[in-house]
Amino acid sequence: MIDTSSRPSVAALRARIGWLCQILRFAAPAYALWVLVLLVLHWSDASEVTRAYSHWLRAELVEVPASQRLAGFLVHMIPWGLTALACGYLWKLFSGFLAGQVFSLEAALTLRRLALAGLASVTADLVARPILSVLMTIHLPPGSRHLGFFVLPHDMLNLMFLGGLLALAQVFKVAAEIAEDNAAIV
Amino acid sequence: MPIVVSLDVMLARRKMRSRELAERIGITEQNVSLLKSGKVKGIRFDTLEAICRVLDCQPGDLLEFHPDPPETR
Repeated sequence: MIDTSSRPSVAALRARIGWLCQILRFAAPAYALWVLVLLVLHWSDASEVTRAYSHWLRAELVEVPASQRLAGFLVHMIPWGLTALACGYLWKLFSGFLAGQVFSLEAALTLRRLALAGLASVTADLVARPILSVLMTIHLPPGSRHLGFFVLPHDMLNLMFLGGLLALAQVFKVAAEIAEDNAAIV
Repeated sequence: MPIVVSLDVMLARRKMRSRELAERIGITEQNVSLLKSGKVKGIRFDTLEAICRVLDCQPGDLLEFHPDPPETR
């Protein structure tokens, strides 16, 4: 395989976007950790959980038992795990860019995996909402239990952004194949 | 591939090492090795020009066409 990392154009690109790659690389695990801390704080606070779900379900809930909050936390861990996976791919992608691996097939595949993990995370979050609404009201008497589903504008924005990223990854893959062909011309 | 690169022959005739050629034409030694072994998809005209200038030869001295033998039935 021909090494393109030492080419002047690649070195210039690295010099131009190196700082941005570093920021995004460290922002990815920081974001995953931040969300995890917020989730732990949310689910460990009984009054906060009760208040939040009373507001979202437009119902007067009595305090949610600890076991249900734990179950809610575990359900929430699925979309978080997928978000963490996407952040891992983001780290890998920008680490590769810093190492000069731009327009490589590996980078294109990492971008594709990142988009897929992000899409899976948003989808899992959407699916988790009705599950959580049932979990948070299952201790109530029949007739007072809720099955709530809601979609927010930022869900659509995330889906559009990640769908766009997936399409971009396909374009990137074709560009990487062309770049690889071009790199085999000395 | 029917195009055979005979750069190693020309290097031997000129008693020049790959490293020196790489330095003089401004490409990496790794790329000279790939070129020598024919593991490249093409050669740029400016690279060919630089090699011909340094080795004092013609493009035809570096590239040969060996047609594939017809398939046996």
